[in-house]
Parts: sequence; C-alpha cells; structure tokens
Amino acid sequence: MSHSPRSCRRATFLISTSLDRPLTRRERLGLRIHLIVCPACRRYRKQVRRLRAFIAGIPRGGLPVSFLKTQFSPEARDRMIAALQAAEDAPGG
Amino acid sequence: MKLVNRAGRTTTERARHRRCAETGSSVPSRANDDRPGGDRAPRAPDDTHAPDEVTAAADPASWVDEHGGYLFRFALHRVGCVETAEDLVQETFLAALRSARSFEGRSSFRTWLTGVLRHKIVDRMRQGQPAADGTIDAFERWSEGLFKDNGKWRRGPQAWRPLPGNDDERTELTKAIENCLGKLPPQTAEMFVLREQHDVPADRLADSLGITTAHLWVRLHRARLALRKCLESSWFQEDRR
Repeated sequence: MSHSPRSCRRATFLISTSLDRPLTRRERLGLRIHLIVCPACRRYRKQVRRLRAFIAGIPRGGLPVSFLKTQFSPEARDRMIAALQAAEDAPGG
Repeated sequence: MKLVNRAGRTTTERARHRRCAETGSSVPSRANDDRPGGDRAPRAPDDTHAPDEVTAAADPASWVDEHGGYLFRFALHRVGCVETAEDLVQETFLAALRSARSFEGRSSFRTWLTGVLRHKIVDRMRQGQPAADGTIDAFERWSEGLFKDNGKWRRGPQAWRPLPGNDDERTELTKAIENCLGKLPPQTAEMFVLREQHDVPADRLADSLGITTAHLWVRLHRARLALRKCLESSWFQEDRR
C-alpha cells in the first residue's frame, strides 16, 4: 500500500478511519495537505460523511443487523455432539 | 502486482480452488440474542476476566450449545468459511475432551477452549489450506483495484444528487443501501451496520468479533469504499432521472 501523502488510497483510508478513531496529528496533517490538492478525495469525504449521517438516521430495524450466518447448522451441531459422545465412549478416551 | 494485506500475507496466492461460499443474507438471522453490544458480548480470548463460569461442564456434549456459537463466530471471522469453521470447532471440542485435564481453571473454560481453537486455526493455515474465503479475497482485490499503482483514483467519485428529502425517497435509498450491503462479504456488511447504524464503538466491536481494531478499520474502510461506489451507480447519479 502506498503511504505517499499523494496517495488517494491512503487518504481514503484516513478519511474512513477518522470516523472510527481520532487520527494522530501526523495523519491529520497528511490528510489535510492531501485534501487541499485533491478534489476527488474531498468529494469522497463529503459523500462518506453524508452516507454516515443518513445511515445513522435510519430507524432501528430499517437495516438487517446480520448478513452473516452466526450459528452453525443443526446438522453440524448433531455431528459435533455425536463425535464428542463417540470420543467419550471410546476406550481409553 | 502483488498485494500484501495487513497480516503480511499475499492475496494473490491464496484460495482459488475452494467451494466454500458464504450463504450470507439468505440465512435467517439467529444473531439477535448474542450480538456485540449485548451485556454478554464475547470477550477477547486473552482476557482472563471473561465473564463465564470457571468450570468445565461435566457433560462434553453440552459444550456444543454452551460454547459452540462463540467458537464458531471466532473461527468464521478468521477463516471466512462456514464449513471450515464448523470443522475447526469440532476439532477443538475433540482436542479439549482429550486434554481436559490440562485445563487448570486459571482462566475461564471458554477462554481455554478459544486458545485451543486458535492453535487449530494456525495449524490449518500451516497445512496450506486456504485461510480465507474467496469472497473476502475477491472483495479485497476489488477495493484495491479502485486505485492505480501510484495510489491515485482510477475513476474518482462522481457528483451526487442531494440526499432524499421525502419519506418515499428515504425508503428507496434505505433499500438501495441494503441491496448494496448484500453484495459485500456478510461479515463486512454486519460490522458496517453495527458500527454505522447502531453506533457500536470500534474497539468494542473489534473485541466482540475477535479481530484487532486495525483489522476492523481496514474492513470498515473497504465497506465504505464499496458502498459508496455501489450507491453511486444505483442511486446517486445525477443524471439518473
């Protein structure tokens, strides 16, 4: 990853990260200088902030909390229990 | 071009021949009773003050319901693949059964199990089996590809029409956001929603997902890049109507 202050890749990371933690002085300064010369990243920051504000205002339940399968399948559960019981019953187990 | 992610692994040489796709958004959520932000949010495995009982249950089969979900999510966030995560959890339980005597009660039983699981994950990676799901890799490559080698935008953000003023348009944009999030790797979409809509602090979120905060920042960053880009074409383009 290019860490050059001219890098938009780096600047967009800092723009995003500033929403999750305070930037260090050095990061803040680097970003500020980049934004002075880069209209594309200024626009990026504006849009990302607008999106954040909009999403924060969506009522609870307006978006699904989970897109992720957070529990294993019942089949996997049965398999695990069977495997544990078999291992337990095994001689010397 | 060779990309090196934060963990120092090259992304070009990982995981091609795998059939371990996430089922993602089509799966009904059972997460609500155990999501980050709950008062029993899972703790970092190093945390010796984990809240659960400092005992190993007498009946090993009960471990599955008691600790299985936690271990599964822990594994899934690292290996990114449901089947592999299930295998690892099963291996962990079996290993725990064999060596339950080495559990000395200095930490909670869950913390101890998590330590065993960590070793299993590392072993699995050493065996050369793919460490991450194709969707995460592909997503990482995609977001890197938004920029040229010199770090400049390939195609910078375009001008947007204003945010919606009326309720119909708000609903429409919310749908578009949900639709775009559905295209992200599910874990990434989940952490994004918890962070942005539910305002879960980043450090607590990382803690409950069992990843480092540095990793979380990168994942959220990619989510924002992708969501912005997706909405630009599906909703915000000024010449859309």
